[in-house]
Amino acid sequence: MMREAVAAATDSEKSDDNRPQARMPRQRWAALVLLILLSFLLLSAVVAVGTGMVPIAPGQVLAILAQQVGLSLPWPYGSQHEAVLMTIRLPRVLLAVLVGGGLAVSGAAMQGLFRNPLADPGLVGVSSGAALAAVAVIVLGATWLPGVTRLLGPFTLPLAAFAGGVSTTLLVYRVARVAGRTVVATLLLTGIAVNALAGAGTGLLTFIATDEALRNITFWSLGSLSGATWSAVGVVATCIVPAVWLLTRGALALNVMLLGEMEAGHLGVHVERVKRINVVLVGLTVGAAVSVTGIIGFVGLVVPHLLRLLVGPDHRYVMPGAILFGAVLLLGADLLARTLVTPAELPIGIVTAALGAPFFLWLLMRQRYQWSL
Amino acid sequence: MLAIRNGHVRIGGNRLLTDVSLTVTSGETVAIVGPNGAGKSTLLRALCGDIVPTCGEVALNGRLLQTWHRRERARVMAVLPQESTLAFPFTVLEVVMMGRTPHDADGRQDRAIARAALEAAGVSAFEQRIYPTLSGGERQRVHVARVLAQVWEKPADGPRYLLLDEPTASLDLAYQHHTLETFRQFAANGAGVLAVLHDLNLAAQFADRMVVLRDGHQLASGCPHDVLTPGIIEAAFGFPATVMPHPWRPCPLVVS
Repeated sequence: MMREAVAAATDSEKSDDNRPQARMPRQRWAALVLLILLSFLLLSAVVAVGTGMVPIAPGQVLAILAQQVGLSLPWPYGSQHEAVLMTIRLPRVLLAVLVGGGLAVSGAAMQGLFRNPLADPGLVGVSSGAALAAVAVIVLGATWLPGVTRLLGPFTLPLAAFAGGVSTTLLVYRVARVAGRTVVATLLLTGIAVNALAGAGTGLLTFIATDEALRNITFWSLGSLSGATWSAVGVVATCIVPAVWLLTRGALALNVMLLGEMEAGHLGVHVERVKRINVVLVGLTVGAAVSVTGIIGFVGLVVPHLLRLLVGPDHRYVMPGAILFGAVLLLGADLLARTLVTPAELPIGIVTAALGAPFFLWLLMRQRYQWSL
Repeated sequence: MLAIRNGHVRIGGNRLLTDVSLTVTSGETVAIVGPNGAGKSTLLRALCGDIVPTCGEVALNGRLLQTWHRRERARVMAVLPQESTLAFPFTVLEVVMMGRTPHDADGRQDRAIARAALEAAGVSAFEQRIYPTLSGGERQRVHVARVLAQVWEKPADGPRYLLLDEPTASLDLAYQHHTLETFRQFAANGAGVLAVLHDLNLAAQFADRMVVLRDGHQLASGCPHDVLTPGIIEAAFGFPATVMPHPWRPCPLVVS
């Protein structure tokens, strides 16, 4: 466990790592990183709720929040400040935290389960299934399903996306399951095939869509947190918080699974159950996230990589770290998305991909970051 | 006692094992030898529960293997695979600590056990190395330490077992002997050790008892002196061999 702190951060993949090491244990270093990430999260949350058309100072933010629980702090603020913070900014920031953390920890789970650093939550079909259902509602909602649309109102799209995402994930898992066992490679290939099929359906619907529907589709598939309301936050939190908690509880089993499924079985791990739980929880988390925000790429792929560089491969530190880092990242990306081109808003997927893709390329180009696939 | 009685394994139309019976008792070292494709690994996998025999039964300490809870079983029986694919950059100590998973602990005592196991496998110096950067033989020794750590303490309810699939395959001469000696000491402390071995001379030195397989059938079993005869070796491998007394060890020496 004795590793020089900085070395642990940057040299985990170094190929000639045989110098004598002492100083800081990996665990203590990881705890320090988690603490730093947590303070980053709190800091960026305060900045994010204060930034926008109506600026709110950190002191005012604290005063408004304290007022909600009946405390009075010495920073004056107007009623407009309170309204903006409580009805617009705060739910949006909370949604960013939930979705960012959920997507990132799902990515960590998938990469661990597939023992492949290129895995991302979309592999099990959740994003493409949600997209198909959402596009179906956008394109056909008014004409083919008017009853449903009238009944569910603004909830039609998120509900359909959630149902589409979760049911596609279950379909992928069911198809890949042969004689009571799931071969991870089959799961991967099934995911690819089902993704392609869902993509074909989405493409067909896009092809017949009206111009207005096309615009909605584009916005949805690039993601946005502008749908943040307290009720949306409540629904998403109900799905994501327990799912993420259960995912992180499975961290140790995921570590052992990296040795190989047979080896994990010999170490007492119920391998099939670990796979089932992870696939279902990732479907639930990403389904809930996608249903409200649309598709946000790269968070699930890149954040776990970053955490492994920072704290090493142990999922017991990677997963909590990914939650915090994903939350910070999405908060920052959303802040950029809504401030770069005011009064308009960029789709957040553009921001995360524009930041994430170059970073990922940089990771790939570093010689020491080598993976056998 | 770990035992398979009248075990048959058929997968698809292939008979991988036919009517094999084998027991491993506390304090004993047993070697499985035979030509490629004879069913050695299949037998090992049937004994550790990876494969359920088509017919026949496997019992561990008097209880049918499939009635054991996974975690309880993992505290009693450790399995060393032929090779392991771990691409994530864990340190050697972290890999060996994974052996302690069934004891659901990450405490000081587990760390002490992991270190002792590293010592026993002769890889203490690697403790902080990054596992994927090690050579094949070094990795193998790390996994030896991992399985030793897994069953380091004597369980309360009967002896523990080590099942080893070609534990010496990627090791150099010195470590082949060192590793097998480590396992022999483990057996001397009450463990039952079963190993699939390719090298007949290593097997003769290591094993109290040997089992010879060919085409899934049990060709012979017994102490090395009884099993390693020119007749049995030729019958098993289809290749002539001369057997003579080892110059300074109490076991036969096969020259081919």
